[in-house]
Amino acid sequence: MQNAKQNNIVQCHECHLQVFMPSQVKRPRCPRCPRCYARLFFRIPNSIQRTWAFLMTACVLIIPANLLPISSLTSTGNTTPDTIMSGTIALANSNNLGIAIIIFIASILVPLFKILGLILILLSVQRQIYITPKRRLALFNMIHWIGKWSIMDLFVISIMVAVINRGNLLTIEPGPGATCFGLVVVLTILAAESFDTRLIWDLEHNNEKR
Amino acid sequence: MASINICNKCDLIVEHVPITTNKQARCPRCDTLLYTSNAFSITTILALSITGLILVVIANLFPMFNIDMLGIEESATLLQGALALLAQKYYFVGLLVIFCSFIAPLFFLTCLTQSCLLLLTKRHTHQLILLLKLVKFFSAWSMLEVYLLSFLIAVFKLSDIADIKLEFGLVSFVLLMFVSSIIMYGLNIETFWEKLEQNAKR
Repeated sequence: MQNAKQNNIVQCHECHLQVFMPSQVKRPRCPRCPRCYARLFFRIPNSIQRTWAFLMTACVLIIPANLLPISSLTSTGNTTPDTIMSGTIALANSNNLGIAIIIFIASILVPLFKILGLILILLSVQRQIYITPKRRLALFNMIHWIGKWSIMDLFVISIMVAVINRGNLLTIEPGPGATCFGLVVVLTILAAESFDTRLIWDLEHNNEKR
Repeated sequence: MASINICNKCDLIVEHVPITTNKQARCPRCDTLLYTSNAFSITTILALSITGLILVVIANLFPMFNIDMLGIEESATLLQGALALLAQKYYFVGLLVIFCSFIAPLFFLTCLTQSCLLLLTKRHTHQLILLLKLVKFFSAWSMLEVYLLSFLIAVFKLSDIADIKLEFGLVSFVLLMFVSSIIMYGLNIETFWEKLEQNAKR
C-alpha cells in the first residue's frame, strides 16, 4: 500500500495529470501543472481550517434560517409568516403528509446531518474520536451526494412566488429566513468541497509509522 | 508513469490493469471508482450536449404549467420564479436559484459542446483548458434533478388551491434532465485531457 505523496507524485486536482516532484530537487514555490496550469498540491492547502471555517459559519446561520420566516402567505389581507418547521407542520395537517416528510428531510434533517457529519469527520481526522477510514469516507460520500438536495425548499418557494404573486387576493413572499437558508446550503457544499478525503488515510499511515 | 493510477479519494497508487467492457476498476483500499471501460467517446458526448442545448431552449420558451386560480389563468416558465424573487429584492436567493437551475446546466452544456468541437477539429488553444475546467465546475452546481422534484412538490401544494395543467415545457425539461444525467454518467473528463495533450504534441 503506497501513497502517491510518499512517492513524490502529485495528481493535478483539475486534470488528474500525475506529476513527479522529487524531494531532493528544490521545488518551485508555487508549482503548476504542465498540462492545465492549475496549482499543484499534495493535499488541499489548509483543508481542515477552511472546512471548519465554512462549517462554523453554517452553524451560526442555521439558527436564523430555522427561526426567521422563510415565506409569508398573504390571503385577503391577513399575512401569515411561515418558518421551515411551521410550514412543514401546516403541510402535514392539510393531508399532505408525504410532501411534509420530503420537505422535513430535505430542509431540516439534511442540513443538520451535513453539519454534524462533517464535524464528526473533522474531529476524527484531528484524532479526537476514532472512526474507521472506510466509515469516514462512506459518511463523507453521503454528505457530498445529498449536498444539493437541501436546496429544494428554495426552488419550491421560487416556483410558488412566480405563480401566486399576481392575484391581489393571494400572495406568497419570501422571508429573510430564505437568505439564511440559502447561505447554509452554499456554505455546507463549500465545506464538503474544501475537505480533502486523502487526509483520512494520511492519519492511518502516520499511526502505522509510530 | 502511464501505467499507474492514483485514487482520487485516498491517494493510493494502483497499477493500471486493462479491463473488459462493462467492468469497473475500483480502489482496493477505499472502493472509489478508478476508471471504467464504458465511458462515452467525444463524438457521443458532443451529440448528447447539442441535444441538451436544444432542450434548454425549448424548456425556457414554453411554459412549464398552466394555473387556473380564482378564475385567473397564469402560466409559468422555468426562469420566472427566480426572476420574481429578484423583483422582490431577494437577490441572493434569486441568483442562487437562477444559477443552480439555469446558468450552471446551460454553461455546462455550452462549454462541453465547445470543447468537444475544439478537440475534434484538433485545435489546441488555451481557451480549451479554461473550458474543461469550467465543465468540471458547472457540473458540480447543476441541480436539474433537484429542481424537478421541487417542481412536483410545488404542483402538489398548488393543486389544493388551483387547477393545474402541465404544459409542453415540462416535457422538454424532463428530457433535459435525463440527457444531462446520461452525460454525467458517461463523461470521463480525463479522456478529454488526454486528447488535448495528443493534439498539443502535433
